[in-house]
Amino acid sequence: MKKIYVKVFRDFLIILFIVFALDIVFGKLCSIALHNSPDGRYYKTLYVFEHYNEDILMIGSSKAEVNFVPNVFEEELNLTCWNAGRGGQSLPYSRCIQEVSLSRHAPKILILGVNKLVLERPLNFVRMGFLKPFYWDFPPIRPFINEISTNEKYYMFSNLYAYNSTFYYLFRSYFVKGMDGENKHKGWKPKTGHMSIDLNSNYKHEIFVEPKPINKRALKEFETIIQSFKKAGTEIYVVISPDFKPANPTTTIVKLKELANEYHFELLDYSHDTTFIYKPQLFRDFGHLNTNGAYQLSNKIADKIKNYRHSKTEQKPN
Amino acid sequence: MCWKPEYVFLILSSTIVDYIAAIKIGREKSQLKKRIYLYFSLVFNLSLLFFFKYFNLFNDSIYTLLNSFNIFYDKPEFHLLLPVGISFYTFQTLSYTIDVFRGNKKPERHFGKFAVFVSFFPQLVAGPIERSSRLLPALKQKVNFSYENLSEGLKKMLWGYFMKLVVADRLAIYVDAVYNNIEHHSSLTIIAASSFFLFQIYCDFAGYSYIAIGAAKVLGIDLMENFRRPNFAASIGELWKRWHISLSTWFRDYVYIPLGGNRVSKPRFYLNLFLTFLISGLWHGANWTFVLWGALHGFYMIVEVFIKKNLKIKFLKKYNFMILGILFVFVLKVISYFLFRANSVDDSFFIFKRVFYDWTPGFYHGDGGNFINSLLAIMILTLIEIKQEFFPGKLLLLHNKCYWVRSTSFATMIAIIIYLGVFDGGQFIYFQF
Repeated sequence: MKKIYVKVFRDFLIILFIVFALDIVFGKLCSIALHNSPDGRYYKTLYVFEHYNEDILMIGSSKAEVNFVPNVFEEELNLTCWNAGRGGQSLPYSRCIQEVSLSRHAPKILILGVNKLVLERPLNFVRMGFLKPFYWDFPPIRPFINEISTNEKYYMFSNLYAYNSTFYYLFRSYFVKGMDGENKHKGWKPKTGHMSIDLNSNYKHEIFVEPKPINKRALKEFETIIQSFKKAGTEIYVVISPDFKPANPTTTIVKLKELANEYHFELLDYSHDTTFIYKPQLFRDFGHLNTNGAYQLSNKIADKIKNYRHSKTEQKPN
Repeated sequence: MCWKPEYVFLILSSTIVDYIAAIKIGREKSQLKKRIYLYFSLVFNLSLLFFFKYFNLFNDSIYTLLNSFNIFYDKPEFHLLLPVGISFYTFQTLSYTIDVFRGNKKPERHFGKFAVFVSFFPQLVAGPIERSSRLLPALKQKVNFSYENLSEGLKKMLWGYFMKLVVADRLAIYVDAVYNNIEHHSSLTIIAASSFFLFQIYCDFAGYSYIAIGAAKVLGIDLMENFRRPNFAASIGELWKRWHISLSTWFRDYVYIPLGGNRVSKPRFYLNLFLTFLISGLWHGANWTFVLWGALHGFYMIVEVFIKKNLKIKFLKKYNFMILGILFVFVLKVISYFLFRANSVDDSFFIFKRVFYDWTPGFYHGDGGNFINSLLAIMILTLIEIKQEFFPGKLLLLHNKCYWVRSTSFATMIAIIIYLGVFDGGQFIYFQF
């Protein structure tokens, strides 16, 4: 019987050793692939974490990534710009960007793209899995990754786990360029084509969104973003992008108006802007503008920011 | 589905009732009294199952039906949670009592051993539904810790984890995204999601079974095989010999044969087949979608048996149309999942309409990375199963003669699970049945 236990222990150690070896080799290969990404989502995230020094920073979810065109802002405002929006993410991702980027560089302007339900929805930390490969290199993101699961901080010792299921996005940029936007687009992900809708159908009606209470955690994270950038001396513009169909004012929008007064940031709400709503030629799908729509929205936002900055300059005593 | 401490009294009461009923049946000489004890056991167990699993379904259905005739029905409300594993251990104990009644099994006198038979932890929540004739003797045997059992058990568990974490939970992401917003999706998307669901439910359930069988093997107990690569079934009959074998054989032995099986008139034989599948559908869950799914499989089975009996299909055998049969069964299964996976009967009707009548163009693949990972998972599974099915004994990795190949394969499998697995996935689907 003793022999069996020794044999089992030996096998356990050998298998553990091989798994560790695979983990180290695989982790190294993935790390090389990530740090040399020619473009794509990992390149964009790494850029904002390590290199960005632009005057304007855009953060948010897919609406920010798709709807805000940095080149338009650069031309209009004569400032450099980087779009750090990321599809499928929400406030926790923006918090990570804020924590890492502010520790290195404070932008002059922050454009925070938010969803009309952002303060009501529960925070989805699981989607932050995308940032796992950056866990050890960027300590400020660790508390957010640790919230994915109870033992996440221990799992992160495994490279295989940290790079879990990443091969498609990790290696795609080596074979197909520009799937997440070309580098010259500075983080913007253009969406070509337009949504198809039966124009004869009765599609022009407002969506009713059931009012929900504010999620305290979401509110806290949002306030932290605002306070941190304010403290760094950044001008803040919070933008609610248009959807194809408008909706009734949500609890989030009402709260954002209150917060705008409290924290002195500009709230730009395009959710009922008739330039966009019910215009299928400006949308790629119900929630995202196409290239044409994104240019129009970016021009509108840039004009507004220009006017605000201009009026502020005029108000300043000589 | 839940595990509440007070629900332990359910399994305990089932255990006590069947333990006593079987001993009484064994002692009694009078057939009538034996029958009374048997019926008591059946009524007791099935009542618990009905109340906790089906009461709300029938209650709601009666309410809806009467409401449609403008008849007021003061619906009693019970906020019942489905006790974990109730369908599985109820069927396991029922088969024991019936076997004792039939004289196929002597009643177990050791209460502890019997209680372990009912609640044997590896297979308690989702099977395999073991027979007393297999499991009870195994539980009585003295088992020494064995290297071979440990090794074989862990290999089975590892394969189970691969099926669950790499395949089932990966596919669930796409399937749930489509089925939870079914009205917004195109016909092709629904077909893709249903095809994914075919692999998802197989790997979810078979994955659990392998983990259970493996865990029992480590303890030195052999549980019955529950799945035999059902995706290679070339006929509906063969499918049910490969899919959830412990349940299929249970229904064969305790429902189909008692109904008369095939030793009756032709119409009655077809009715027996249909009823068996209908009840099997109901067993799966308290939703009419499962009943319709069972009915559809009953219909498939009747058509297949009818064709085999009445049409000359020898030419098919002659040319070995196995691949055609596999594809045909695949399509039939996907269609049946329009019912099984749908969240409601209305949804399943919508799906049938969208796929067969109101074809809507377009395709939604969701997150590209997830879709590619899903296809990769299906591909790995299929390649391994092709090897297992058609080349048994060849290209062995986990069972290779060379120690280092075995160890490296085992470690690589762990690495693949860690890299490709989904670790925030849901529970096992069959826990809810």
